[in-house]
Amino acid sequence: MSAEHLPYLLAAWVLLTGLAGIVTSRDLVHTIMCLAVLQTSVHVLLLAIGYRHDATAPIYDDVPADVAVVDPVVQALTVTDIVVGAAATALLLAFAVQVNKRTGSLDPAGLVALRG
Amino acid sequence: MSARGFIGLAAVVLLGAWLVEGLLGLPGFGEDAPAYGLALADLALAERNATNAVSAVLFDLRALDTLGEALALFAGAAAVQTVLRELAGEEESEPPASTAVDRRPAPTGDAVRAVALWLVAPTVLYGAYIAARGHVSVGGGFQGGAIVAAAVALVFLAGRQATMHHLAPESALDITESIGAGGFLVVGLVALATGAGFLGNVLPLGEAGRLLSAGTIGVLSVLIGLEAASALATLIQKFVEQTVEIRQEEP
Repeated sequence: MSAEHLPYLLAAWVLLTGLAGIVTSRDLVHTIMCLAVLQTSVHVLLLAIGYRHDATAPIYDDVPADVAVVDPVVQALTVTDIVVGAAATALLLAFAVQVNKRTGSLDPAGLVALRG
Repeated sequence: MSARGFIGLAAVVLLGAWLVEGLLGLPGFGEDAPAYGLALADLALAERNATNAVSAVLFDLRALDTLGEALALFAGAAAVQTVLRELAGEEESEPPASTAVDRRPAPTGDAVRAVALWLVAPTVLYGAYIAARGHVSVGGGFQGGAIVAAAVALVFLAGRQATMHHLAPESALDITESIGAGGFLVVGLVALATGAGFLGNVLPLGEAGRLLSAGTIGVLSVLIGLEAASALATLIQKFVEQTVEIRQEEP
């Protein structure tokens, strides 16, 4: 375990925090927020993997073309994940709204029986 | 703690150990030169005249992935519209006619209202700027779209639900969202028809750093901006409707 792996371990820590929150959650909105936290760990990991020492952002409009840049692919993946994550979070929150309307509760432990 | 919670946390710890084991096997932070990414970064400038390599990856070199992502956003917005519809036993009331005092938001302060309304037009302009210059500098369609959608949230923040629905009616958002997502497909199919392959870059590449450059990258960026802004604005509207306007019918 060394300092050069610290950003990766940070991603693991964020992921596990979110996962622990989901496992112990007693409220669906809290569960969804934990999922959002968990998702940010993917962004941390992707950006950490693409990082290079002494390199700049892969945007050439004000730097010369031969300058060292970080990996643009992981940054594009991060944008993708943020957008899809926003849509998924919104859909889950919509389900939480309807669950609360039908059962009057947001406790996942209370949702045991299938109801028509 | 319940037995289920204990088992769950034990599983999280085990997964964590496994994950750390794997992550420690990666090359050190900042020491690796990712060959594929750097090749694409060079390609973006040399062969596409796009000064923003991230946008070049999103809207040209890996545009097929972005099409899937745009459709995921489209499907997500459609699903929220379906789940948050007016159900049997519910009625939708116009906000001013609502008598359900407890379901109304707290009155907005004058300072918040003035600042929020003042910010709406600059926010839309800024979002359009970010989306339109995605291929040149920092920005891109998704980011610009999210900023434009924030303008819709600002109108709601100012306490004007009715104005919000008036400014961005759902019927119009459905159309602009379809133009954004469908336009992406059409650009891809036009490229296919000219023999360049699906989503190939068939427009003139221009001069790097200019607004009209990089071929289809700018066009697709704007289309995605339209799609993202419409989808996110739809989401905001559905949730506002659900909390403020839809209520149970009187028994």
